[in-house]
Amino acid sequence: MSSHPTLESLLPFNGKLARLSVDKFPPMALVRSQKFSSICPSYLEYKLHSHSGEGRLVMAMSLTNKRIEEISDEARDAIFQCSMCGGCDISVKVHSDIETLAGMYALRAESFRRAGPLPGHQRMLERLDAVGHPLFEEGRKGDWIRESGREPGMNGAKTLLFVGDRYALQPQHRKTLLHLIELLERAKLGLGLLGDEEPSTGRVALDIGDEERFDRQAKKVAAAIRSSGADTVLCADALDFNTLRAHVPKVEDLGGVKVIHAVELLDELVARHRIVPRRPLEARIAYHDPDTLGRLSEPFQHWKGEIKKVLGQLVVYDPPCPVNRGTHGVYDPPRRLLGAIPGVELVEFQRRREYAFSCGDEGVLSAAGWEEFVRNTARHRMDEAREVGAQVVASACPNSEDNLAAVAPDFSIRVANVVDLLHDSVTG
Amino acid sequence: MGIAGETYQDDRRPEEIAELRESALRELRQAVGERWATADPQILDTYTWQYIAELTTGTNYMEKPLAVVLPSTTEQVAEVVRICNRIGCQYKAISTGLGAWGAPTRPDYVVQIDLRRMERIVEIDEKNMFAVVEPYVTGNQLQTELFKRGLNTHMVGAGCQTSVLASATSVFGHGWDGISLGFSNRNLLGVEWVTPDGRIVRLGSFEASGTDFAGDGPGFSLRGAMRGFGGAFGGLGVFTRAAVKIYPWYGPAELKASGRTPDFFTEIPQHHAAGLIVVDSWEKMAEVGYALGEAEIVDLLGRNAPSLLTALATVDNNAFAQLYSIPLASRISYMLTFVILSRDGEDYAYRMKTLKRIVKQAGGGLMMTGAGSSGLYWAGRAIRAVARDTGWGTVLRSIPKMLPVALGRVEGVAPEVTTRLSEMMYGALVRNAMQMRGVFRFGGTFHTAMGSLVSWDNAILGAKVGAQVKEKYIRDGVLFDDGGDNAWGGLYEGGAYSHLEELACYDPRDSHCLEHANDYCIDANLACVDHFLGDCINGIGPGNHMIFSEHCYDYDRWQQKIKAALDPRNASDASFYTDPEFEKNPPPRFQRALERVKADRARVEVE
Repeated sequence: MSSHPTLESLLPFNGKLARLSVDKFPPMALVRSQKFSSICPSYLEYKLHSHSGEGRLVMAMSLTNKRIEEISDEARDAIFQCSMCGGCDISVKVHSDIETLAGMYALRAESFRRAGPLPGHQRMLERLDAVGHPLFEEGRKGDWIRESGREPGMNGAKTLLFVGDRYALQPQHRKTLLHLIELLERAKLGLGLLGDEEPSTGRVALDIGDEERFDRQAKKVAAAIRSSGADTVLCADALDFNTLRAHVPKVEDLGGVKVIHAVELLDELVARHRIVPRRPLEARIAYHDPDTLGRLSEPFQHWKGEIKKVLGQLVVYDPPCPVNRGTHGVYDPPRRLLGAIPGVELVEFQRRREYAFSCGDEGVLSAAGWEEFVRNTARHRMDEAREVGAQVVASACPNSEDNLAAVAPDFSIRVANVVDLLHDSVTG
Repeated sequence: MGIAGETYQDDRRPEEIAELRESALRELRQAVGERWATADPQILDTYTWQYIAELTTGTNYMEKPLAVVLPSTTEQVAEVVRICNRIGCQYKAISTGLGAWGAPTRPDYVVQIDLRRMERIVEIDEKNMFAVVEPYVTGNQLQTELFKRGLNTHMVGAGCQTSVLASATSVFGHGWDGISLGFSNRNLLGVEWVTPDGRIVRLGSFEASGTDFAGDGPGFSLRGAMRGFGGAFGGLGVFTRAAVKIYPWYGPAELKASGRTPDFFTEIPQHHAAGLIVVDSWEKMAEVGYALGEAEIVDLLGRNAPSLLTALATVDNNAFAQLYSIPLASRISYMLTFVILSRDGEDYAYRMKTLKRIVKQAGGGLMMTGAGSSGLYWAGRAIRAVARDTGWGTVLRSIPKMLPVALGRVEGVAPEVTTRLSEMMYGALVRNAMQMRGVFRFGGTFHTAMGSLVSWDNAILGAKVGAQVKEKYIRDGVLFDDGGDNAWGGLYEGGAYSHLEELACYDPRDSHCLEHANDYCIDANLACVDHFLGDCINGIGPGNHMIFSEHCYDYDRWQQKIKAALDPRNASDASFYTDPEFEKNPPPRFQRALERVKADRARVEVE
């Protein structure tokens, strides 16, 4: 049985909401300018309180308390006009244990149960059912293996490379995937590949609020991983990394398999000199922290316990309730990789690491017709890159790459994947 | 705060409400554009959840607005106000929006004017030392930009995420920096004001000189009318620009913060210091406060109770409970947190020398960690001062429990806390960015009482009285047991005046709290009257004005006259400002207070 938190189960945490508005800003001790002092792309774009983490939690509680009975079209838009980046969640958790992001997922699930998917989202779900993934590219997930002359299967390897839908199917990311594999082969690492048999994680279903469909996919993914015999799953795509660590375990046990991201392994290989960056790259590079690789990548932690009060009105948890605050996300490995490339000057965004500003969209916003919101969010992030003097924005997420690259020409800043930059330096 | 207002019984027919709503939405959209006004019920509902709503309605929700509108210019705000006057509804402005006074108390009748789109720092005049801001500029944003220019701004205790303009024009303005940077209304210069009937008025020097450098200009001064001590809490029109005084900042253009969420440490710049002054009694704390004020050597000074400081050092309540169980953690009562922001080495040396002399004369000690560590001698003095108050037994029993903290082995307490506590305090005070842990996290919310602007001795008396008033509510399980004394505040403008408010934390979902939260406020307010402590921080709204006004020059009668003159239609929602009809039909929670007021009047008449 899945343990997605529900609106009711979150009430003891989220009922403490105090309308402080800290969800709209990064942790304020870290703010460096007024221009880049927002953490919430949705609130920055739409301005209404309903479009903030707090606003959506109020909606969630009003539904739970039966203060509102129906979800209007405008309210449904407000629920889904959010990149689910978790910036609000991290900022709030500096001061409390309110579960903002979990509350927004539960709200989406409730909206889906009552009203079904938005039309654009429906098409993604139909695609998932029809071909096993939500993307609209044609082809099969194992095509790239065949085209590159490789063979699927584990072949005795204990590390399974989880390629992901985008790297497997989207032509603009094929090069990065092949670069990754070449680097790992150079380090003489054996990898297993599932090819056509690699299920989609179904993350899009979760973001759309379709928990049932997500659970089905999660079980397929977990079964595929367990039956592969791998003890490590190496994720190429940050979104899959996040899904396998933070969401699939709500549904299904991965059987003790370790889930890591490609940049973590590459970082280790560089540190051990098994791959060596040589060719210089004279550039000022700012690393964009994808939320899926950064603040949202901590593993899901089950908790079963009691909420008690001591000292009159002090709310405590027995046993202590674990809280994911984004503290232990993957922040340093990609920076070390970039720093290892000769000639690179690393500059930092004003908003970085656990409080990085989101780049835009995992596909769900665009599918619903909110491309302008996605574009404006990406433009805001690139404006920040320009402000800090970056010539290149590097990321380790295909989604971030796409969003930022779409607007990059207006800023004369190149967008690149960390893997590609590393590959060029290692093989050049 | 205990607030007036009532749960409104709406006698209108649904068709009347619908017609009003439709007419409002149509006109509002014409004024600001289709996208920037809505009457969707679920969107409106998100505006009703408010901090301390339970003290007005008994739930977490205030009443639902008629519509929400987001103007982007002063002219649009004025048009919205005129629309409300014309169609016969009220309006209430909100910006960052912390507090029940930002929301309606009458359902389906009040247009919520959300000033989110007005977020510009219009001007920073470095020569004349003022900044002009729009409503959605936060203290954090303004301070961040001012630091780059070697300047600073007063920041309020509600937090740096709150609106500079809202505090300056409409709501109190207490803060740790008060000893050097004053109180919000004292920093207010020029104002751009959309009056309750929709005229645009600029107060101050702008009319004469074209700049906002002074709050008074030609003609009658309306600053007392529009602002006064507490502000009108949205009940006198809408303020769309404010010029505020700014001050020198002798620090770097950007403070360096480090650490991983949720604990951040702010590197203390050269010639700055942060720490705790520890003495053994309220009387000594009074002595130290006055001396520091007269000496003008500290830039921030605040009294924070043990629970607040312990909360700052912990990431969750479980860690807090463990740390707070150390006897000393809950018993170091007589301490003042201070920050010094010197401009150079000579200034720093003088200030530290003077600080130490003052503290030594009071028999106290200092606790400062990290680079500016006070050293064993001063820390030893601090411990001895504590021991004189609590007894050496308390100190000795605490040592074994403090060892795991010092070794970084307590879950939820950052290992650096004992060595970098000064850096945490520096960031928390100078940036005003962390204090929410100290009040909101315990049960979910807090309210406050006492806290009149009075002499420091009187403020301390208020702290003692407040702690006594709280005891009953702690005993009855209504409030978090912080030992009773949770007085927060400090001195202002060199000690010319002071405040200590009594924080009271509770769970807003607990019906037991909701049932009795207001009682604490009423009791505290009546205690202020009984002990001649002045109109306090709870003096918001008609119900509390009823308690205080006749003891304070009958100020509420003047507020009523001002309101009647400027807003004859009562278009600006004044639920938290004034109401001449209040006593005719007060809500049940104010009945007890009304009886007391009537008894006082009868006694005065007899006398």
